[in-house]
Amino acid sequence: MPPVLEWEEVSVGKAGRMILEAVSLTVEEGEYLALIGPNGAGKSTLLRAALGLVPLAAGRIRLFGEDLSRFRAWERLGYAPQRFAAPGGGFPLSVEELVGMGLIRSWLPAPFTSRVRARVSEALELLGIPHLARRPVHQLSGGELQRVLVARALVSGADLLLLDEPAAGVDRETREAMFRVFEEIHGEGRTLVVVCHGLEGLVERGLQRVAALDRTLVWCGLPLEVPDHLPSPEEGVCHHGQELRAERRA
Amino acid sequence: MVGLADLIISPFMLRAFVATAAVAALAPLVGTFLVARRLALLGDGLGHLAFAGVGLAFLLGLPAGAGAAALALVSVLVLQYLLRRGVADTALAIIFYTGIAAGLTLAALAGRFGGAIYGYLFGSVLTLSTGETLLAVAAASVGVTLLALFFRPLALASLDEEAARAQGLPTGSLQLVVLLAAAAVVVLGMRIVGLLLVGALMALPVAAATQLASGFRATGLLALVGGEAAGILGLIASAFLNLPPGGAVVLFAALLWPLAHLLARAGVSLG
Repeated sequence: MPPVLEWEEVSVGKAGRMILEAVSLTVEEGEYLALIGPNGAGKSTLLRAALGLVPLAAGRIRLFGEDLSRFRAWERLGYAPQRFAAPGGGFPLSVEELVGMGLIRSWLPAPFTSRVRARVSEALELLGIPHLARRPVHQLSGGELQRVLVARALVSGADLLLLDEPAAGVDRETREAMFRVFEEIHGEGRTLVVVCHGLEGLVERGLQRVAALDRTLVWCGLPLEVPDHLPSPEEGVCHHGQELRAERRA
Repeated sequence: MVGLADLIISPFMLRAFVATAAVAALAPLVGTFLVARRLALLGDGLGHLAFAGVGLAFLLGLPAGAGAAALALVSVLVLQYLLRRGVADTALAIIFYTGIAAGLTLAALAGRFGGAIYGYLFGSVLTLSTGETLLAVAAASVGVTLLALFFRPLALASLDEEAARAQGLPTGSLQLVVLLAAAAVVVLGMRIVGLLLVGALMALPVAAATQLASGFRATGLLALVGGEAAGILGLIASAFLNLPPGGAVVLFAALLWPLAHLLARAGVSLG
């Protein structure tokens, strides 16, 4: 079984500046991984690169063993962007419509059938927001929108979930509820990669591994072993990455 | 009043009603995707460019509709290329004004400057032939059906291109479909409200609908209803007051916004 997601020596540049440098990280099937790091560390870029939304300066990415350029099984992926990247920009769009869009996987006609509505209700129920179904997206609070975006990522039942700061700016109660949902879907065998600022509340909810990013991978290991002060990019040692590189050389 | 009632049901008025109703259904639907992409003025620009096609057709002795269609099509391909590269709106301004200036100049070179071009710039819905009317109905029916069928993928690509790409949708092709539909509306609307006003039929009903609708689909449907109301009421008003139909139709479309605003203020929300 190939890894679900592999970043191999991935570098990304923007406006003459390197955002990511030689990041190597592998996510195995059924794993629950958190990506941490300071602001501007490249966490979102790393996720977006895996979705083909960011051009690579160097390196390669494989999804389910397939090179990104040849990967077509997008229905296996669910993605929740950061809240400020919410769609629509004020154009009317109901929560139900937005979450239902997570089920569209091609340009072909995709009517909003009762089956779509049932899947959407299920996802909203799971996130504890069934009452928001008919609300316009632009009227949601930050925390509500966050949960709606997670619901869209989950609705298709994708094997691999890439969630970009799903719990940023939500209250403690909501965050805990969200982490319980993550634990539950991880229990179903799905793979989760969650970008977050801190690990509070995640460790006791089934998180298996942490990768710390600061332009490059600076640390990688078990949640309970995360050092108080993460290494800088210069001194950072990621055993996992080195092992991977050694494996490839061998 | 008997005279006016007879006027309303005269054959040329009936053709005008049918053709206007057809275009007023398609235009706001296309406009929904344009406005969602923040391209509310694109229909206006395409109208300007199509006018260069009219001038060219005059010069070459071809039917004006064919010239407008050819240039609208070429324009769509150029715009598709520019929009995919995130071009600045100043570039669009240059292209659009070049279009209308070229149209005027070409028409003058063909010796058709003057009254002949008014019909294309501001519409001549009362002189439609039965064939033109049927063509408008057929094209609008096909357009509305296709947009309704592909509504959700088109909506996703229009509202959230990143998510659409991350879900494997061909976002470039979906944008091209919206632009082609807008070009079709421009060509169909040329004889109804004219090339200078046809963009309004795509933008104004949608702008009004966004104030009342809470969903994307509801916006499209409301815009369609608003477009139809403006089309029919505008034609009736123009007949009664002996005014140019194009102007009257678009003025009714412009009235939709304050009307929707008042309704929204009163707490009305749909869909």
